Amino acid sequence: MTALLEAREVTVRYGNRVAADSISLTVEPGEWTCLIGPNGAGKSSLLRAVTGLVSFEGTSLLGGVPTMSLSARARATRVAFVPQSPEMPSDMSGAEYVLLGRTPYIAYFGLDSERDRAVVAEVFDRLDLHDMTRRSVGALSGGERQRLVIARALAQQAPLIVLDEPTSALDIGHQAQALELVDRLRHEEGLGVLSAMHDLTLAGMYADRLVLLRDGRVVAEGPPADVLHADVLADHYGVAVDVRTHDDGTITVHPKRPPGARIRRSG
Amino acid sequence: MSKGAPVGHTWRWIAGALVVLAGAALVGLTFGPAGPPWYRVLLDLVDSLPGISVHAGIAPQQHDLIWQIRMPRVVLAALVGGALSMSGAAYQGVFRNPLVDPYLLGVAAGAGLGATLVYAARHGATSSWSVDPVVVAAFVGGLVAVALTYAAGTAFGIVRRSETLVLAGVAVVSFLTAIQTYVLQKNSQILRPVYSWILGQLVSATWGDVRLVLPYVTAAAVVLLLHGRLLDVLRVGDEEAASLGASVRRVRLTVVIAATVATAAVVSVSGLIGFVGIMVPHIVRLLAGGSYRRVLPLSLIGGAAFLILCDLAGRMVIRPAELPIGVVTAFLGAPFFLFVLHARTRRT
Repeated sequence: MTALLEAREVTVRYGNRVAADSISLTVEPGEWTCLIGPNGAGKSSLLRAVTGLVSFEGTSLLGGVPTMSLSARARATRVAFVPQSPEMPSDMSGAEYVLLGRTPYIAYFGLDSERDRAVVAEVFDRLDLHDMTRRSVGALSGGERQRLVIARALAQQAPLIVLDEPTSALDIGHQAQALELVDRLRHEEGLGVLSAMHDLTLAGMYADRLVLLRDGRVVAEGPPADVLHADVLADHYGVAVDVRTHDDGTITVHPKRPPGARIRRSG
Repeated sequence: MSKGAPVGHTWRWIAGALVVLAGAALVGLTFGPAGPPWYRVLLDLVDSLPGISVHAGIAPQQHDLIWQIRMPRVVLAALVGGALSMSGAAYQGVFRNPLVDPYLLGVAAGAGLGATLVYAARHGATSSWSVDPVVVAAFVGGLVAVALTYAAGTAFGIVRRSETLVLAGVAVVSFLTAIQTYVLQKNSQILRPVYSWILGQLVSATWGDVRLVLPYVTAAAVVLLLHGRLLDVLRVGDEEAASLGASVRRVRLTVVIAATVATAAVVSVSGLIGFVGIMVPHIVRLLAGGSYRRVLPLSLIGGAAFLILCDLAGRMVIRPAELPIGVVTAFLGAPFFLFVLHARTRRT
């Protein structure tokens, strides 16, 4: 079976600065790969490279076809990109916003077809978003907006979904809600997921594989249990962490204060 | 409205705007500082309808005043107002900035320089050309200026980033304005005609002007109206639009070319009429929402109606003299805009 994404030695440069250095990874259907690493490690650059939004050296294949040989339209049918802070025009209705996901299927001067609207209606059904069809995007809460963005990605009907920090703007409840939704979709639909996440506990809970980046290079990769080690994380994040594996297999990662620093509480 | 229909009620909005435009055109034709009383004008208009004959009771020269002076003026005002408003909306769409006007990339500066050069070259002698060379020079100047901006933006940076283009526009505008100022200083006798050209005028509107402008405005309007959906996609930003499969650069280039051609064409006959290109799309957005599938057609129609009324006010207020149309647009438009803004904020 062809991998949804296969990146071989992908390098991204901005001028002289190397943001991602010879990174290889694959995403298979139904698989969730998560990029972790400190700020500036190259996570977003790599995500943009494999979605064809920035130019790169090396090879990256979407469903076996070189990313850069595909038109923007063809790429959008193979990979749906969810940026960290999506731009959501506040007067658009929920339905109009999700309909943007149908862009790759509509001809240049064309208008949305019956089929496009049917797909959108189906997505609203699947995600149970009916109360949002007519409401304007500006009136929605952060959690609702995030579900709408995922709905837009789903309307693209691409087999691979790329998420850049999907939970950074959400509270703990909505974080779980959004990630559960993505997880459900990848199991039900066999979607491949490639994400970048800061929260190591959440990354470990949802992803099959973690890829730890630092200074643009892969420094550790594998199943969460192999990557989330206190010494590895301390080394690359520069902070002491407490890593615990719970009975159900969940790995939690907490920061620890440096030795000597005391927790002071007033009163 | 079917579930998930993207832009409902658009046709109702357009029909409403057309009614307003028809009303504005009728008022613009029937009233004026000179000429027959308004009801006789109406009768003459009815008389001109096919299959209807009424006695309007007006003299032949009054008939000519209506058909050769007022009518082309109203039509030209509609074309200029519609083109500037729609081009403004289109520029705002591709640059994702509601404060952008259609002069952003240098149309006005280029047209101004073109007109100035012609005034300087001909030393006040009247031209025997069939088309006023000021018009031709302004049109060409506007197009050349935007081409320069685009070339500079592409040479110095990635046009994928619209900021590069805007900055190149700032540089080109400054450069062309500097040349224009130099030419004006060297030829101070043309200061007055150039200044009055810059203020904008529809006084001398003829059917010839209408014929000159109409093809460009029509072609641009068709192209821009067809881009409504794509401009809606661009509302989420260049990168997201690209990730959704939109050809951002192609859309931007096509829209800028179409809007520039329309703007340069109308600027060449009317001079620089400010305010319309920013405020009309703004008012349309406040009333009907931000989808370009609505903003573009409504700006076209609304801008036409708005400028017809502004021109009428310019003719009437200090008659028999005339106020420059650019003064009227700002004087009438600004309070109206504040009123709409106020009403809208109270509602939400």
